[in-house]
Amino acid sequence: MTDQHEHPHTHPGAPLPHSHGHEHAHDVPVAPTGDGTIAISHLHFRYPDGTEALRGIDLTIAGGEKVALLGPNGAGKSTLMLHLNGIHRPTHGTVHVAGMQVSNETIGRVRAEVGLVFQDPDDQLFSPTVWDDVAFGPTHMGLTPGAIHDRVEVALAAVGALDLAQRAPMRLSIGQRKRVALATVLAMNPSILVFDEPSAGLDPRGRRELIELLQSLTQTLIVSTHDLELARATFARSIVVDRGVIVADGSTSEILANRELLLAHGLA
Amino acid sequence: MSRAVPGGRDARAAVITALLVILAIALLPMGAYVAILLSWFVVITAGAYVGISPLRLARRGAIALPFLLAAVPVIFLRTDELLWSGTVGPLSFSISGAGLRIALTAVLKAWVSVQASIVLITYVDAPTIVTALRRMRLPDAIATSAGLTIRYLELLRDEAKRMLRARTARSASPVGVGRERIGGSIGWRARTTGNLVGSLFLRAYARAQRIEEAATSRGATGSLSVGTMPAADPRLAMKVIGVFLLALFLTLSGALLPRL
Amino acid sequence: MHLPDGFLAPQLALALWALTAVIVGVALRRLAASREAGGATGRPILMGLVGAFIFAAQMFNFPVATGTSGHLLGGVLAGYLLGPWAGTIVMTTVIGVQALLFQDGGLLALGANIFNMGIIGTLGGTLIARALALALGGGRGARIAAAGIAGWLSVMAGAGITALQLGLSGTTDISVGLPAMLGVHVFIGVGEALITVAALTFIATTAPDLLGAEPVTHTSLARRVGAGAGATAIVISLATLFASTDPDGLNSVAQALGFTHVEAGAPFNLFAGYAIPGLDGAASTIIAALIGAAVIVGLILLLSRVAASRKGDA
Repeated sequence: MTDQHEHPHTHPGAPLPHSHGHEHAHDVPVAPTGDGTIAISHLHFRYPDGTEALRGIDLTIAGGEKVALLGPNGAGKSTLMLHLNGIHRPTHGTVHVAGMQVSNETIGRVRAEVGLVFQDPDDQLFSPTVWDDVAFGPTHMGLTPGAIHDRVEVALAAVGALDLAQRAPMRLSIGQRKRVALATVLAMNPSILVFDEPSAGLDPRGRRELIELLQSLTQTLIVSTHDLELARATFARSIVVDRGVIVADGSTSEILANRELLLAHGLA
Repeated sequence: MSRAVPGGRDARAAVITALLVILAIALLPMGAYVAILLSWFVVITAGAYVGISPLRLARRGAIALPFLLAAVPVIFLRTDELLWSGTVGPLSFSISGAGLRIALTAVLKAWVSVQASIVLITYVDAPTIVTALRRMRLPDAIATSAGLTIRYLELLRDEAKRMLRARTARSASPVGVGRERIGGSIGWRARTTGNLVGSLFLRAYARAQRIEEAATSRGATGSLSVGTMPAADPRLAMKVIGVFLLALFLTLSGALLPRL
Repeated sequence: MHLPDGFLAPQLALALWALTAVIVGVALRRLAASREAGGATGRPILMGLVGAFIFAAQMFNFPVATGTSGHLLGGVLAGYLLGPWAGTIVMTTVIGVQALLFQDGGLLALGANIFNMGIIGTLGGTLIARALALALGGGRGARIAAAGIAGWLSVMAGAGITALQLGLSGTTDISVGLPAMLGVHVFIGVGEALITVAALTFIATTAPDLLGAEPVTHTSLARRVGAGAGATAIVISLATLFASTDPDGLNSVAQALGFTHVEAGAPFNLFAGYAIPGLDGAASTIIAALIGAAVIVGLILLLSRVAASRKGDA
C-alpha cells in the first residue's frame, strides 16, 4: 500500500507569520492511509474508582469532518477523547477509528492513525531539541532514517516551525510549543487529529494563528474547547457533552445561538 | 473515606503506638504463630476503630507476601528438622521444618506489620505525622523537605503520568510503510526515558523556584513549618504508658503462648 | 530492595537505625555549613521538590524484553544534581515517605533501608562518582559517565548489603540469596546507569547551569590515579566481601551478636497441646481447630461491622 502524494495546505490569502526558509528535498507522501472515520457505539466508561464518566455515547464522524466538542468541566470530554487513541478502553460499547476497532491487537496502528495533542505541550515535549521530539513518533515506528528525516521536515513545515528545529522546547513560547506539539503528532501521518483545549493560554495573536492552522489541516479534526469563538470560527459541527452523555449534536451556529442550551450546560 | 483529621491533632501517640507494636511483633520468637495471630487481632481492632474492615486490611497487607521469595532458600537448604528429603527426577532436595518456620514467621510478621502501618496512615494523615515527628526532634531540614515532598507528590506524579501517556500515544506501529525495528533500540529507549526524567526535573526545579519566590515574598526564611503547632495531647503520657503495656503484653504472649 | 518489617533481626534493625541517624546527622551538619557558605542546593524547598521529582521519575520506564522494564531509583542522580549531602537527605526523605505512605518498606526496617539505598546508594554512590570523574579527567563527559558507572555500583552494593543483612538475620541462606540478589540487580543496575546518564545528558544540554556539583579544577595525574585507586579499592573490597561470605561464617557472626533465635531441636509437632478435655485424639484437635476458626471468623465479622459504621461516621 503506497502513500498518496499531497501538498501541505495553507489557508489562501492569510500568510503564516512564520515563513519556512527550507525547501523540501523532494516531495514526500503525507496523506494518511486510513479513512479518518470515527464510529462510537453505546460507549460507557467507568473509572476504576467507580466514577461513571461516560454513560452511553453514540457518535459518527466522517473522514475530513471538523467537529468541536463543547461542554462544562467534568462533562467527560477528555475521557471521551482518550478513548479515540485507546488510552481508555470502554467498559461497554465499541469505538472504531479509521475503520479499526480499538483493541489490544490494533492499538499500535490506532496510535499511528489518531494523533492526540494534549492540553499542556510540556507533557508532550521531552526531548533536547524540537527535531528530536518530532522524530520520536516515526523513530518508534521503526522507519528508516531517510523516511524519518522527511517526515520531520514536512511536519515542521506544516506548522511553520522549521526554523525552530534545533531549539530546545523549554525555551520556546507557549504558542511555539503548541505548534511543535502538533508537529510531533503530524509526523506520524494520522488521519484523525484530536486536540484538548488548544487555545488555552494563548494571546489573541496566538489564537488567530491557531485558527489559521486548524483551518489548514485536512485530517478529521476533533477539538475540545471552552473557547466558543474558536468553535464558531473553525467548526461547522459541534457536539455538546454534559455529565457523560451527548446533549446536542449539530450545526455550530445553531447551537451557539441557543442561549438556553448554553446556559443549561455550563457554556455561558 | 479516611478518618484522618487534618493538621489539628497531636499524632505523637499514634506514631509511637505503631512503632512499638511493630517492634513487639518483630521481637516475637520463631514459630509464635498464635502470638502473631493475637497481634493481628490487635491491629485489626485498631483498624476497625479507624474505619478499615479487617478483610481489606488483610488484603492490602498482601504486598508483603512476595518477600517470601527471599526466605525460600532456607526452607530447602537448612538441614535441621527435615520434614522430607528425596529426589524428584534428577534433583535431590529436602524440606526443613526449621526453615519453614523461619520463612513463615517472617512473612506473617511482615504481613501484620504492613497492616499496622496502614492503620497509622489512615488514622492520621502524612502532614500531621511530619508535624508530630518535628515535635519529637526530627531535624527541621528533613521535616520541611519531607513536608514539601508530600505536598507536591501527587502533582508531580500526575505530570509524570501525563508525560508517560503522551509518550505512549506516540508509540505506534507503522501503517503500510517499511519498518526496521518497532520501538527503537534499547539505547534509544533508554535515552528517551532519560529525556523524560530530565524534563520532569527541569519542571520540578522551575516550580521550586516559583515556590521559593512566593514564600520569600510572604516573609519565609527557610523553615516552612506550616501553620501553628497543634495543641499538645494532654493525655500523651498516659497513652504512651498504655502502649508500652500493650507492647509488653504482646512480647509476653510471644514467650508464653505455644509455638510450633 | 525495600525490606519489610519482620525479616531483619530486631537488634540488627535497631543498630542500623542508630547508624543511619548518626550519618544523616553528619549530612545535615555538612549541609548547614555549606548553606552558611552560600551554597545553593541545600534549600529545603528545592530538596522537597526534588524528592517529589524522584518519586515521580521512578514511574518512568522503558521495556527491555517482554515483561521486564528498566527504571530508575535515582540515588546517584539526586546526589549529582544536589551534591552528596543534600542528595542523601532527599533520598532519606523519599525512602521514608515510601514507607509511611505506601508501605514500601517497613517502619522498623526503615533505618536499614535508608542505610542501604540512601547512604550506601546515594552518599556512597555520589562520592564514588566524584572519585571516578576525577580519575577519568574531570570534564563534563567524564562526570556523566562516572555517574552512570556509580549508578550501577550503587544498585549492586545496595542489593548485596541487603542480602547480607538478611543472611545475618537468618532469614535467607546467603549461598543462594546473595548471588540471586546480585544477579537480579545486574540488569536493574544497567537500567539505572543508562537512565541516569541520559537524564544528565539532557539536563547538561538544555540547562547546564543547573548542574549543581562544582567543577573539578585540579586534575593532576597523581590526583587522578589516587582517586581512581581509591574508588577501585572500595569496589574490590565490597566485591570480595560478597564473594567470600560463606553461610557458616555468617551464622557464627550472627550467633556471636545474638541475632539467631531459631530454637535448636524444637519438635515440629503440629497441634501439640490443642486438645479438649474429655475428648481424645484427632477428633478433639479438629474440634478445637473448628472452634478457634469460628471465633476468628466471628471476630472478623464483628470488626467489619464496626469498621463500616466508623467509616460512615466520617
